[in-house]
Amino acid sequence: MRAARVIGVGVAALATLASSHARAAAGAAFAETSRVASLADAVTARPGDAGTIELNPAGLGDLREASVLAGGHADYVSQWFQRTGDPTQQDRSRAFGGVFIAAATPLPGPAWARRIGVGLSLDMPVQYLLHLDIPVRADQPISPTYDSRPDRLAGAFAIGAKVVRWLDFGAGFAFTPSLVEPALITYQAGRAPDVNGNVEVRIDTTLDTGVSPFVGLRAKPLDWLAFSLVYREAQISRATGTQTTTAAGITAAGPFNFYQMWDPATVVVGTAMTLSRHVSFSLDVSWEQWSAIHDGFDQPLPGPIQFHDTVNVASGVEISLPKGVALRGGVAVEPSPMPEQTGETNYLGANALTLALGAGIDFRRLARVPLAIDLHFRARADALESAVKDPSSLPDADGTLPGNQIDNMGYPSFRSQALLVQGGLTATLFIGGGRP
Amino acid sequence: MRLPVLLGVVCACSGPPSSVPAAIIGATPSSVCIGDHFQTPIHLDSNGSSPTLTLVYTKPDPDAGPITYAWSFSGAVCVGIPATPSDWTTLSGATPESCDVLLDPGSVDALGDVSGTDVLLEIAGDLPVDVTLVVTNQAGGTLTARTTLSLTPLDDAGACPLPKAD
Repeated sequence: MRAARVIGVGVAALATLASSHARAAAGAAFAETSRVASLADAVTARPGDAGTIELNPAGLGDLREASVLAGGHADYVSQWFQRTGDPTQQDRSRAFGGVFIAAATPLPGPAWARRIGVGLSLDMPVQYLLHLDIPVRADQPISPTYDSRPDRLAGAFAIGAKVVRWLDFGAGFAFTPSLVEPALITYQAGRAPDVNGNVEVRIDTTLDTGVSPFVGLRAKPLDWLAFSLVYREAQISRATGTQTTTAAGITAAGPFNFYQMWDPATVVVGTAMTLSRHVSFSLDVSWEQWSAIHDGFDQPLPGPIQFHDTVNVASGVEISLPKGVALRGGVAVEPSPMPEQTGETNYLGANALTLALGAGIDFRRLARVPLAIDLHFRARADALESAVKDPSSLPDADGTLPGNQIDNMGYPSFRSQALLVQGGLTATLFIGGGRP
Repeated sequence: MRLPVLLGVVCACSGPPSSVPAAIIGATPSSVCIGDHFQTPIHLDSNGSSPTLTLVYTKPDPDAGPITYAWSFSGAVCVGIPATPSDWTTLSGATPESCDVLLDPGSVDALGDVSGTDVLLEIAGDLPVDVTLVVTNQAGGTLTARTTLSLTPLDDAGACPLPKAD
């Protein structure tokens, strides 16, 4: 079992369409709208829009008019891994990107109906619909944050309502794809002139959809102060199936089950304050259940290498200027969920700091055009990760030889570091003629 | 919840693509003790490779043409023989700062490439060495094989538990 299995459903045509453990309009990593990204995702207690339905669906209760937004982001991860004693670094850098579209509207009709809003959103990576990277060697260096996490299709639907004047409630579902891929291998003698031509391989692939619910509250007891409480279920994809081999009346069937957790179950507590007519501040504290993560074969991680839950802190400031111009900035701190990699695994990652800047123009004020454009730039820097292997915790690589053979890719020790830079743009079209 | 309508792909094919070769690495021994310091000769051979990858073993086609081999190694790679460290060089002929892998001069061609079917080497024994072999057939098909030369810690008495080479 020494071959890496990479399942990638690449749909090149999608490229032509228009965190941290950050989540997007629909939940995909690093695919937030520019407003959200530039506030470092600290938006759960702020008024909602079409781009925040998965972050806090209660924000849909704030909608005054329908809106449609679309945008995209371009990303580059600079990441290296180096084993002690090895003169060269393994460059694991890569570029990726994505596009998204979202729409939200209050229900039409009487006043009570207009207090209910609905929204849906779709995140699409430009390279893959779904990318599960399953290293068959357990010691292969893996970055849970950057390797395949940005590479998945995600969708979300939510409904929110203003229950009373000061309280909004919302709930929704995020959709995550999974693969079902049964394979049948048969040998039909005489089918072809050469022996290899008699082998028939049949693979049926189905892209299924998993559903993860999320719920949120937003309370605004004072005009200048709001609080939020959000729960999101974990988002997980799987690639499953059974490989069946038949020959001369002999049938052998072996199941496989590959696993990828995109985001753990999360609880967010947030607050937002309007400090003055032009300045607002927000703070989100989120607990993430990383201890529930499984390995690529859907098995719980053993105790010494099990991830631990984390508490992340993010805050954002927005300054409103005349003519509909807004300036935004955010900072987020994310502890690493991974223990020191002293054993068999070589997970890459460390405590991370995210800094974000952004700006937007609402053309409704500037030119009476129902359009807003937002831009952002974000950098996420990981601290230097270093790990020294404990030989007694490494498995025997060859049971046929005396002693304990070590072939671990991180032995005797390793270092790694990553930096993500991202730029993005979001365009929002307002439908209904409301005023900002 | 299943929405199988999103994507359905059915692939039926007969055997693997004919242009792909088979790449096989054999290592003898496959492990040395920690701190071996270039004392144990290691033989890598790729003679099990073939111009075509087959699901069912068949005798290689004599008309399939030659295959080429390209070996590479993790760590600092040097060329020389263990007895004369002062003569060791890098693959490009420079004076090395350190060596994790010591290739026998007979395994390296004039351009500094390691492209034979067999490779003789020793390793320092400070870190496992990852060996990569890329086999290319006449049709341009390539296949990559990887193996790791592992390290064995000394036993409680400070002795190497591995059997001595014949």
